[in-house]
Amino acid sequence: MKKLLSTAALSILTALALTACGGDTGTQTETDASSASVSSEGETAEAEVEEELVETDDIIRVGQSVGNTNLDPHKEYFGWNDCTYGLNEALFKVSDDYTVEPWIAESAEMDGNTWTIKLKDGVCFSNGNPLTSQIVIDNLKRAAEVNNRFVAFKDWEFAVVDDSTFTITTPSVYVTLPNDLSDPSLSMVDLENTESFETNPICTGPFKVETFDPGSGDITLSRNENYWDGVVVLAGADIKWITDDESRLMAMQNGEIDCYPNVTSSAAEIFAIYPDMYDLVTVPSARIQYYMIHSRVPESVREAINLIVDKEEIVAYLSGATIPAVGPFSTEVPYGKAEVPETNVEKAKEVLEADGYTIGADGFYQKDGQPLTINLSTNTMGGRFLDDVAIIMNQQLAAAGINSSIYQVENADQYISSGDFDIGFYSMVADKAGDPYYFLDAILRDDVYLDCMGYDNQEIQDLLQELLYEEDADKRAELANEIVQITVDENMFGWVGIFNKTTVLAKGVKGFAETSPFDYYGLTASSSLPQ
Amino acid sequence: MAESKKIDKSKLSKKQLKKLRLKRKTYILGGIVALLLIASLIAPMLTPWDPYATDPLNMRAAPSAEHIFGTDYLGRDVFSRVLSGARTSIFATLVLVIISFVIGSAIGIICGYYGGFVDNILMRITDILLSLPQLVLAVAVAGMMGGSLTNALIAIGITSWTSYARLARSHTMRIKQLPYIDSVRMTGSGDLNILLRHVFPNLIGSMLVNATLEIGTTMLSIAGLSFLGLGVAPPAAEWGSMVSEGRAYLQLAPWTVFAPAASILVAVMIFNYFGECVCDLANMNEV
Repeated sequence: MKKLLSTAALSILTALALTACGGDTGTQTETDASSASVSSEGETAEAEVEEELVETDDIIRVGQSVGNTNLDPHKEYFGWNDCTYGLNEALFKVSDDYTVEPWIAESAEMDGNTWTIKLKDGVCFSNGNPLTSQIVIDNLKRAAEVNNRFVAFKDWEFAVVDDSTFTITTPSVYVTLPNDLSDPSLSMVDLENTESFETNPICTGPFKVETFDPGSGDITLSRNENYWDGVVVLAGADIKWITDDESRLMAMQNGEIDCYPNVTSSAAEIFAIYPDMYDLVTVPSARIQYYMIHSRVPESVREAINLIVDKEEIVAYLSGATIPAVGPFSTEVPYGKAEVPETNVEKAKEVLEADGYTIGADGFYQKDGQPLTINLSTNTMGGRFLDDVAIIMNQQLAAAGINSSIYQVENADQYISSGDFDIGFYSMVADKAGDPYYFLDAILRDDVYLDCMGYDNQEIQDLLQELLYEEDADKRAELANEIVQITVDENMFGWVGIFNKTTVLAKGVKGFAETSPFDYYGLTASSSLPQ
Repeated sequence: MAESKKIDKSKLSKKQLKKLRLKRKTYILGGIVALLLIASLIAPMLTPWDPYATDPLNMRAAPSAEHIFGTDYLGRDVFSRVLSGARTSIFATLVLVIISFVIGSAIGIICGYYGGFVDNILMRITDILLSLPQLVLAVAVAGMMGGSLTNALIAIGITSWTSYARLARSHTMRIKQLPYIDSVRMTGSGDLNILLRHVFPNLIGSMLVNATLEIGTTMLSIAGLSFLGLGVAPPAAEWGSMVSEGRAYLQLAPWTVFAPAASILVAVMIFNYFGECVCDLANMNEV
């Protein structure tokens, strides 16, 4: 059975939950176990009331904390950065309220295992060549070849219906396909005419590459004169790769750049002093800050640690960079309903003492003469504050009698790949597209990259499998909550904080996806400088 | 008594007077250095607050009577951390300088005395290490080994022994040509005896001068690696890492950077000035 609906497939899941924050965009939703769809109907009226855009000669200068050494959108996460430059576009995009919307695609309809996707009319690359169904299929196949994240696509069957319509048949029902196709790494590139994917991919975004220096990561962009979706206001953009937080702050202060995302809390405090010079926009992001507790840590110690760690205090130290997390997802969504025990140091001590731990002469717990020392492995990845969280936890644990030492590296890979940690800190985007599966699968599925804690929980694997195929939004939320609750009850993780995403713009600068909770959106056709 | 000293002074030549002044300056500076070392040794007993205790109600508090250097972004007392960091910064430097001194001198003496194949190999290694920018190599090595104070010391130590080796070698080559070495050899003394009793004592003066001059540079290198996150592991206090931690708050709480930075500046200046005085004094004595 096939029905035409007018909202994102997974927006069905989130829309139900986000009734408090999600406005009605003129879409109708209809839930059906075997069908779902995404379409752009109803956007016209909205577009009509939009301000008329006019081309200008302005060049925007953007400071980016994470830069590219390669512009190939399909490889690694380069497509995410490309997308912030307004270079590339995917079939779908995720809106500020986590609903999936069509972007290059016009609509997507699911019928059993098959999704039929129709492209918008007139979509073309920056060289003027039209985007066809075959090119989209070739792009998805290439992404599967060059990026391990999309290796599952190899099991999919693609078929061209006509120039602007194609089908994807998956081995089983795949409800979240539009969500997954909204990943900017699955953007469209003119595969035939692109001479260098690494330095100048020909894409469909409002900007195209003028110059790119892989060494410095700096990019000069110019307006895509053939842009398919209307007027591009800016004449171009200079993207500067400035990794150091303080250097970005000072570059903004001395007028070297016009805007930058991922502003640290200390820099935000400074910008907030000058409201007439800067616009500071803070929105809750989809990025979670958490720690993993290795299975080698005794159960009682795991429980005690989670009872001792005071998230409210950690969040207070980080001065607005995060909000306390209950689980990996926002408590606003239906799949963010975990029940986590309150901080209770006395109970933690009781748990430890019941398991035979006693306070030694050094003031720290020990058992059978063996001191209890927890290794906190953290990294200094910019803007994640995981090193600070480790220091605060080190003190909180010490105050409760648990000795810990901090092992600090530049990149979490060093302890994740070896599994050599008691507590390992990590941060990632948890709610990538309004559905819990992506994150839960990425951290809990057997043999994935983050399966580094040594747990073997068949119940979680079974629930994950169930979640993969479940089509009902309420049931998906229930399953996700059940999985997260197991991780809470087993004390496998500590969900510390959900990041706020803060963007600073010089007064009057508009349009760097400042209201989006996602890191991978930035420049658009309507981005503008003050006139 | 004071009068006789004055008379003595007036009889001294300009050169002798200069030497006397230099000697006095060196002793004073030596005293300051000794005080610094003692202070850093007993620093943990002098800290008014626990240097590691965080305080969410007192984050980035400005200097006051309670916290004379203010508090940092986690509410920790900066003065206590500067004192606590002194021990790490200064003693880590001394340990590294002493180890480099011993290894470098031993290699230099062996090369200078025996020459030949061993000398060729070791000196070429020295040449290679001297041709590399020291701090860049240290950053690379420390980066590969991971951040810890021991690794930072190893990273800097890989190149720091070379200057001692070069100096010891040239002095040994000069000393072994002297007639008294031939005389000692004729008495049947073994090489080890000659090296330890007749060569080493004659070059230790200039080697020590070199060592005192190196203290300041080494201290800056360690602070530099710690600043880059390749030195001490948090939450340990070390001046370089304190500057790094406070950097994000330079515009909001400058005291978190100024206090450890000023400590580095003062300590390095004292050690450098002391080293230069010792060097000048040694040169004057040779003349």
